[in-house]
Amino acid sequence: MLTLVNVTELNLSVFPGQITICKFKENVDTGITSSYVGATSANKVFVRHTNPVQQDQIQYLNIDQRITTLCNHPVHHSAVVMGTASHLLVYDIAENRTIMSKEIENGVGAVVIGSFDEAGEINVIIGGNCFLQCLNMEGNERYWNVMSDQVSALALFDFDGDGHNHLIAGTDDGNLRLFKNGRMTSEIKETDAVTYLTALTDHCFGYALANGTVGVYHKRNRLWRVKSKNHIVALASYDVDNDGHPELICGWSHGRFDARHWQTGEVVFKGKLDSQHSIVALLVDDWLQMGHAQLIVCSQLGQVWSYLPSDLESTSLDRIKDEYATQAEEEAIRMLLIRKQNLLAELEHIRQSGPSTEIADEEMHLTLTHNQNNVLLQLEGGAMINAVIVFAEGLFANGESHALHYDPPRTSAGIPLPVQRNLAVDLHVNVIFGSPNSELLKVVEIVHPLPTFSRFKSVSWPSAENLSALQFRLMARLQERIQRIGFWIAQNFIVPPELLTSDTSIELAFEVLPWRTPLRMIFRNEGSFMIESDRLDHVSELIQHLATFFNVQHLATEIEIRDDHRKQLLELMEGVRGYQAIRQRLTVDMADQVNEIRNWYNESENARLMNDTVEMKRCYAAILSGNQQLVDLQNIRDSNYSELMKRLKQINLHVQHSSNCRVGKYQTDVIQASRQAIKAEDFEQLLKLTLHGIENP
Amino acid sequence: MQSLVKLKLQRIDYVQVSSLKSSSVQLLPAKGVKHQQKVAVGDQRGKLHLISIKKGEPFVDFKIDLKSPINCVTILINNNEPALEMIVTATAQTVQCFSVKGKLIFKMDTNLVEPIQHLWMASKDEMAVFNSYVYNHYQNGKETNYFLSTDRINAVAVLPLDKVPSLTPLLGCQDGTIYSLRDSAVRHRLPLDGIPTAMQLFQNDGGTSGEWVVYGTSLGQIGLVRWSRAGPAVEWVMQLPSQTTVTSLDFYDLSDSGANQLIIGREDGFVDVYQVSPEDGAMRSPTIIFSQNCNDSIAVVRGGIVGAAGFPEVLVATQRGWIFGLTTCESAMRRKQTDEVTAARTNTHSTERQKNLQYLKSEVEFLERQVKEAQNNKPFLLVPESEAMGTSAELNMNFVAQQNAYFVVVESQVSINFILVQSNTNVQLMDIERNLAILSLMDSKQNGTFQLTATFRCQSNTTRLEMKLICNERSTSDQVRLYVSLNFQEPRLVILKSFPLVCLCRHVRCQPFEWSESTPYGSLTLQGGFSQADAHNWIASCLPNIPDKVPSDEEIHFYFRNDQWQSKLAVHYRRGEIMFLSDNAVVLSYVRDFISREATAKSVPLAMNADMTWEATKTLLQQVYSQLLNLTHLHRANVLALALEEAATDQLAQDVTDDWMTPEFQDIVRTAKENQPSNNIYPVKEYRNFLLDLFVCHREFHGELEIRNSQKFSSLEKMLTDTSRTEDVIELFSTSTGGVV
Repeated sequence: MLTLVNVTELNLSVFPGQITICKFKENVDTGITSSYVGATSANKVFVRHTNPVQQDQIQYLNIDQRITTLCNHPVHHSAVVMGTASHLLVYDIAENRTIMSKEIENGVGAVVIGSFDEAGEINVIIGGNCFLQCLNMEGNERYWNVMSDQVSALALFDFDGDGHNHLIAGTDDGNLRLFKNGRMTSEIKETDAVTYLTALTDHCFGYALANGTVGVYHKRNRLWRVKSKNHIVALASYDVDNDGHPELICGWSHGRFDARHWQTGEVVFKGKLDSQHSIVALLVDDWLQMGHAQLIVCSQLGQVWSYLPSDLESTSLDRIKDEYATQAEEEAIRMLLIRKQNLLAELEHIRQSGPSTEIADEEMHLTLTHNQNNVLLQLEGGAMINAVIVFAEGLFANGESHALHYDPPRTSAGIPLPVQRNLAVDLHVNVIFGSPNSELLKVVEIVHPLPTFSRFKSVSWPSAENLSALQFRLMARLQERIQRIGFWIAQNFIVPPELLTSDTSIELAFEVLPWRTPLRMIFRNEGSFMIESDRLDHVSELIQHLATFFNVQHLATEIEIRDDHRKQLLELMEGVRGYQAIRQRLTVDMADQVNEIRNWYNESENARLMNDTVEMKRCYAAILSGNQQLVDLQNIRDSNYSELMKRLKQINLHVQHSSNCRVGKYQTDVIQASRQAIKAEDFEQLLKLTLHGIENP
Repeated sequence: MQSLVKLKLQRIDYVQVSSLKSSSVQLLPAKGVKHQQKVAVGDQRGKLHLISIKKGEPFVDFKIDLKSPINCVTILINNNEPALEMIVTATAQTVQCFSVKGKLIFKMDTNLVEPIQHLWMASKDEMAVFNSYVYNHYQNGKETNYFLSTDRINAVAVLPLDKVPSLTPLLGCQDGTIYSLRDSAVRHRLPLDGIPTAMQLFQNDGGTSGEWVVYGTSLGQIGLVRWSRAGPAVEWVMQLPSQTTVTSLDFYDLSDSGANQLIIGREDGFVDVYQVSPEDGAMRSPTIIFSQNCNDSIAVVRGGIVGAAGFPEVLVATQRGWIFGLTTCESAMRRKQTDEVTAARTNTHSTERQKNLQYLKSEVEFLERQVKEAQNNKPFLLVPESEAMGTSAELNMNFVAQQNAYFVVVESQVSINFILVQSNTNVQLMDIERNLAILSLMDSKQNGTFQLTATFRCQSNTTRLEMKLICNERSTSDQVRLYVSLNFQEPRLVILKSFPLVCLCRHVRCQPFEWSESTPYGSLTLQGGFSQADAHNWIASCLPNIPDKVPSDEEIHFYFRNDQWQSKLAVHYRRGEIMFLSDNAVVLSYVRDFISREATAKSVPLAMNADMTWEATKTLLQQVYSQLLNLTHLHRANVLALALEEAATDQLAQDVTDDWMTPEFQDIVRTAKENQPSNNIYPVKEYRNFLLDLFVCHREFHGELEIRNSQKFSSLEKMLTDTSRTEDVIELFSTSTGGVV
């Protein structure tokens, strides 16, 4: 129940997540004015003043770097916090001075500002290329951590109701991680890239995924989620109905926004901008100075719509509310009528088709195996299969289902499942079968679980001559009976049960699909185990899963790396320095080139004034070629930059994996020590940490 | 400018019956001024209902099972005894008359072979029945007139006998023409732009002269025609906002203005109300005063007083069988008597609705338990059989030439769980904004051939789904299959629906034309020992919208046009010979390939004779190539406009307020905004591919082979991407034909 209170045209294009509101106090008399601050497409920041004196005045700030994220400062109201591809900048617009500037070589992907631990200090938290960094207002690093992928969303909220904020970070690979006092406290796996996060009430936060899912978590439990074919482009929390609990507001790519009840996900208010233009931001701020913060909806073309909760006292609004309720009831009645008809139809249908046992005869046998490169879902049954549709979330690249149609129908089917990551999901397999010429076919739905490590294809243990050492070897001790470990394997892998019968040791060899990288595991009865693999991330994921399954609090491990791979790692790390040097040189070259072009331009202007056409042509030709060179340089710089980013990401991932090969305090210690080693550019130390972790003090 | 008040109508749901046809719902005349009218409904499961609304709740006066689908319901009013109106139904080949008490009064079996689709009755002795192709006129129970149409009859209207004494039936046929009949022969014909799908007498009585008729087409046009003795004259034609099939038309005064409004029901679920001026007034196009999306394909709209006495409403029936009213009665007052309008009414009313809601909820819970028990094979209480719905799904598809796409609508009586869309040809499937379902498209390329496999997973309570299919013309005819899974628990069912995508799927039937001297064309003649029926089958499976029945004429003609390339195609065939005439070599090549393949399958030897003139190809080439150039130019301008806009913000930042852009650039920026959306309809690539196809087909007709591997072909490819001069492209085309030219 919101009322539109103001519509303002910014007359500027606005980009998702790149608009905010800053407040200025011109002098003692004028009071506070609010301005919209946003990024333009050309590396600038616009400040649109809404001061009545400076009506429609637009001020621009040159940043000269691609702005990736923008937010306002909770204390310095006239300051804006900007993240760019290489810097973090806190800039006071009113005083025209930089409060803080810090080079972030990994690039800023998301930023949030506020207090985040028991110290209660205002900090800037930055997420980016596989890392998370917390700075205090002097620009000093307070805390650093690695992440599994690009950090795409950050939010601060009180998770456990102790009056201190937790940090929640979402990544492109669908992980949600909670941090408190510099430690990760929980991890939640979602099915797609996390795009937006927002704090709701205590213990609750709202999240949005790239696949159109939106939902709310209460602590670690998901209260609800809905999925739509449209994309969420903004999230906010705002109390729409004045009941003291904020609703989750979602802004959609097709220009609609709705408010959902935090507990149930029920839509309590729907709104829509006039045009079909995408919403780019939802802000909550009292920018109109009405004494109550407005919900502000910004569209792509710079329309700003401000809403306030309807005053429930007013009688005219009462009627609106009543009408709304009437409509809702009518809607409910219609839905019930449809439901009733469905049930009636179903009863009729059951009667016509007789007792359901007759149909159940067509028993489908469903097994999971592996083929060359994929997990294979095998279907066997007496009937002719026309089509198979598998619905599963987060498994398929092009949506949420995979369908195979058989023309002509056949009695068995094999469906390759492109499993790309370790995630346990339920497969909803719908098998359509029947005679080919009939219009009415039968369908059977079978729900089959896909185990977490389904892409680990079991292979026979290599013979002695083929038994070459793999890149990584991890050794640790785990005090669990071998039967329990067998149970863990049977539950989370696709492994023939006869391999798990031995009660002295379990030796398993795998190929991890789709790359078919070899992996071997040996668990011995006395409690030691060893995992060998060519990829550290596979090992680390196994360790983390094992630790969760057996509830291991702390686990120290020893890792061995083969010499050639050790060399590769060192080269990778050293390479970063080279790229950084090239980058600096290129920047200088480009500045020179720009100057040169400027000179040619001046000369061309002179020549034009002198009516010297020949000279003019020469100058223009020079400008053209100079410009081409500039474009070439920029291309080189771009590829150099992306290469640098790739390497930095690899290093961060390496730290992530080597720390994840440990559990508990051993894990956090490795992260902190690795960060120190990276800062000091001591790569030998970094490797040492990978191998041995931190010795127990 | 005009003091037209927009209508405000509120939806109230009444009942659901089985699926409905477009003339199967009628209102009984009111017993007095502003009294409530009863609704006669005949559904496809053969149930005839007479429903009246009492205190907002539907009340069934009678229900009769006629055993076979009811395609048509009309009301017969005896002028001598106006109180004794009769409900007339058409089921299969039988016409039956019932009293309002449900008593069978009169029954007549016609000698038609196919089910009756439309029915007109002036009295027991004067009756006309229509099935898909045949018109029969009965007088005193004897067949007096008979007419066989070549194309399917979609809509009929009969001019009022009291104003136009000689019986004049109008038939709106699939070939895009309205025919008027006199006795057993065509008297006049009116060619239209689209296919007529609905007809109604103007003001329901044909106007003062009884000669006025409105029609609606498959492409969303509405027209007013005066069908005088001399012949038809179109008064006005208007285009509805969307190009969708008009399914029902009616006139009623909804706003107490003293003049009737035009009510339109559309297949895309919209109900529109237009203000129309009287036929003899100044010619003025109708103005829209109401439009609402009802989420279901509309079957019937009827104006009347149904839900509450004194309040006019639009009675709407959807193809899935929902019947509801769009009433002028305000929400707070409905389901109440008008004189009880008091301050307290809101409360009492809402409690009443609450009660209703509660009742429905408990009913649903009861049914849910029943279903559960039934699934566990326990005996369950049988619901009265007549209340249950059938399991069926309807599929409608419509080709919209302006977008070059097929719009497909799937509707089901019960909610849909998911839909699998599959085709073995390269079809592009696009989602429609209104859908709530989540679309997943599989990788289209499988084993080197393009295929379409896609699923829509529907949200709960979805009964309607729309999609858009884009398919290229090619030399094969394929099918699109839709497996519609219904939301039943056990046993679960899938309904398979399919429709053909013929090889020339982007052609539309058009009115007959003559080749003028100035338009050059080529021809393809196929001769052999095939029957007329064979020829008809071949044509029907490679061109759209061909009647199922073989027309009775000795030589049959069909005419088509392709709006994208603006080419035309004429087909003439008889026993032993088929002739195609077209200015498009690609089209002739496709039909040649298709028919020769079909003939080989039937082992019918064919003699082929092709004559593709260079002039025809040249004209087409010039035209298409210039379109390609325009499009490429536009595309570049749009890219430039983006850069210019960015530069403009830059200038703004430096406080340069002057118009620094040249007029040419300003123009580019301005037009770029307007041109944006239309760009996607015909992608540039499609033009290039067509020109390459044209090149190949043209040369093939001149006896050359392996053209796609030739060097000329690759140089043409390059020329098209480089946007070379038109003359150069023509040059390449013409020299390639070797010594023939």
